Amino acid sequence: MIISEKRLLANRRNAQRSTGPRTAEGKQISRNNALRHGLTRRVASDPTLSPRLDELTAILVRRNDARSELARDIAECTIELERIRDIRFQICSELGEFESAGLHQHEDAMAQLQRIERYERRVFSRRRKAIRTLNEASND
Amino acid sequence: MTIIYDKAYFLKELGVPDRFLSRAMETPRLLPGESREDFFALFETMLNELLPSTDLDWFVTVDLAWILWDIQRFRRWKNAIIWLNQRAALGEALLRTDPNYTTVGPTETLRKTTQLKADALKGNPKGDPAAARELEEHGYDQDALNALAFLKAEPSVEVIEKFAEMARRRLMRTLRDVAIRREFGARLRLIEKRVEVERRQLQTNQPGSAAPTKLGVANK
Repeated sequence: MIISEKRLLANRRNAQRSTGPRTAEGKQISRNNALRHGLTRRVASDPTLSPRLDELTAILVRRNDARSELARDIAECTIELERIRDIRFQICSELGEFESAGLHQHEDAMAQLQRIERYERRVFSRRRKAIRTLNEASND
Repeated sequence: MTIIYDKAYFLKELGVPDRFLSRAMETPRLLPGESREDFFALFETMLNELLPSTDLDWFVTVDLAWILWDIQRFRRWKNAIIWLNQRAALGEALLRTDPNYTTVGPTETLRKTTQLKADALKGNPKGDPAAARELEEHGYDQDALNALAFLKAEPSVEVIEKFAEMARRRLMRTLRDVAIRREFGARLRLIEKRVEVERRQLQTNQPGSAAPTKLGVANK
């Protein structure tokens, strides 16, 4: 649709006034606008998860060798699976006692769980593959 | 006897290696009606079943207990959905058989009243004989009510069953991987043993060593 010159200028003028959130609270909210469940964020890029990553890696390989990379990958996937479990727990805990929640609440919870299912499937397969490779490397 | 799942029990009774202790003692976050003792009992069952020996096996055993826990949780959820739908079906049947339903229709007040009646009847089926008789007269016997509840619950049950099925599949795949790893490990150890025996025999068959063995001759 072609708009008039007058309308275009008015749009531009109005857009100049929309400079986004101004308060700290508003900025915090807008920071999370695109965040749905945070599952696409890599574990390795989150410094708060580093100690857990190191702990799990150390469980799998006792010394630093060629297998460490694989063990780290397994640890990373394990933490991702834990994050998925945490989200699932959040969703289920919002229902309270299962028998006390309304059927609509249950349906909402199911829809939310369906959205994260594919992440779990993907991470599980990745970890399974890494475990196999680590096992083969240990046998070599 | 109640088992106290503490550090000592994990180390001494369950034989959890020290380095796996913190991982083995982690529990899922619990929902109402769940207990950490139930989870540890499940973990113990898994442990007795798998008898982990390698690091990978230990790692995976903990994981399998978590998957089993998820499956149990889905089962509990499914039962709750069935229960809720049975209650809703009973409420709906009482609403339809209520004499006021035909005259004033399904008003909010009528809905609430019949749902309260349904709750009382569900808790104590003999508590309101008049309501039970009314239902029977309109053809809502136990089978009809179950069928109604099933129809209502089916879509939700199907979704939960799908979640449970995915978890079961993960469980089976992990178990299969453990079995393959063990089978492979056992074969590998057997091959290594054979190679070692042959190597020793070849060494003894070297010129200047003792008389050739049967295997040594065959190798020539």
